[in-house]
Amino acid sequence: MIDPRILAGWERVLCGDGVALVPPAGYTSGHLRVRPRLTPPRSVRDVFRSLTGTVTGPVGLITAEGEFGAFASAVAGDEHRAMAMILGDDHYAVIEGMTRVPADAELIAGAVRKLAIGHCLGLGSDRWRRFLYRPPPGWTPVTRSFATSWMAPSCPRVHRTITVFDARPVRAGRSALIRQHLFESLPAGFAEGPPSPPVHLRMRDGLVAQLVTYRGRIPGRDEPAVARNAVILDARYLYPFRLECDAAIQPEADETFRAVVSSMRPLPPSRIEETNVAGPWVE
Amino acid sequence: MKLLVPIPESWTREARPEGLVAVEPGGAWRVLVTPLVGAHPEPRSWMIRHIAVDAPFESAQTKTAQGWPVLLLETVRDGELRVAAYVRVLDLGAAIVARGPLGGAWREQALALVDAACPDLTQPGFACLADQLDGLVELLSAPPEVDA
Repeated sequence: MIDPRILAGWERVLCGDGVALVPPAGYTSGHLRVRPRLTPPRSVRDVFRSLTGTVTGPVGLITAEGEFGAFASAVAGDEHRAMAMILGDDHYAVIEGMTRVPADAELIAGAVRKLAIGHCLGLGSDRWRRFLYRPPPGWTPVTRSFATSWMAPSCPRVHRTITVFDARPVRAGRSALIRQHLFESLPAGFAEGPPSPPVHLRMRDGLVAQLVTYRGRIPGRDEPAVARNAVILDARYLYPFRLECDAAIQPEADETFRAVVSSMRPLPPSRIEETNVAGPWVE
Repeated sequence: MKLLVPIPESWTREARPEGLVAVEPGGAWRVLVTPLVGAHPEPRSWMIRHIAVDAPFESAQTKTAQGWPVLLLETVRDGELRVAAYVRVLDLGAAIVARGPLGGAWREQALALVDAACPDLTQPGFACLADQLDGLVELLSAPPEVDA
């Protein structure tokens, strides 16, 4: 874990949207800038495009809070730069460092990296949030509240959608159940009978996806339809998926569905150690 | 997100709160395309309330060329013909309402616009983390570096 004392001796200057940091050797040695809340969200490639010259990275990183990010460094002439990006749910943070003293390049890059890993987005580890999976190639996304539906190119002639719901903490209150009932359960009247017995799909990391299938009709369509729910549980989160398709193409649609489900990565755990956060306010 | 309707370039267009209003160069007939938003639970009632009001109407179910379901409603009101189509895209919907003089050839042109309508489901932001992380998905599937 990052030691809060890492910045001991650095000069801190609050500047509008963030903070600038100057190392003990002074400004000529280089400086850092932390911008904690930038909107709208941008892609990693887009953010790191500002690095020019010989660029190393970006490589992925995961913060102590369990958030996704990336780190890269670059040398352009006598300028050594390092940059990290941390992804929030609807914003992102950037930490940048620059020096013109080659001997200090490692110091600046190391500080950027440590600040990134220790960066506090403060979003909480037990929240509904997106997780990593590989979307079906060529399908069109429709973003919804706490879910993304992927529509196959064959729609609407041949109906085939996959919805990936946000991961949610396993320990949830009644409000989570109300939300699921309102927004996520199958429409009333869809199922023409009980669901199939569950089948299990063994995943990487020892996780298991449990799949159940409902047969029925999608409102506004004449063809018989299939809805297939998949749910994966780890120690902290539940990851739900749903396939909806015309029954006639279920085997083909199921192949794509299984590929999406199998591609998921469980959310990284928070590695935050308990600390006395009141200390700086009262000491 | 919006419903794309191939209105000719030569038409005048105006963005209004209720949607895009386009008028053909001669001003004889015009089209309103409403935003593509969450579908009305009962589009038929909605169309009767907004388009037909107390006038008699004819309605039919059809599909666009792409196959999206369409509820068509035609009525004569205040001396003009109104052709209204409610296009449903998954759980979203948008209306196309054409108005013009009785007996004109424009009705067929209006139905052709409905037939050619298709959704543009583009939304701001990222649909998933994989899109935002670009090529880093593979890197993140490896055990992360815990500390520098």
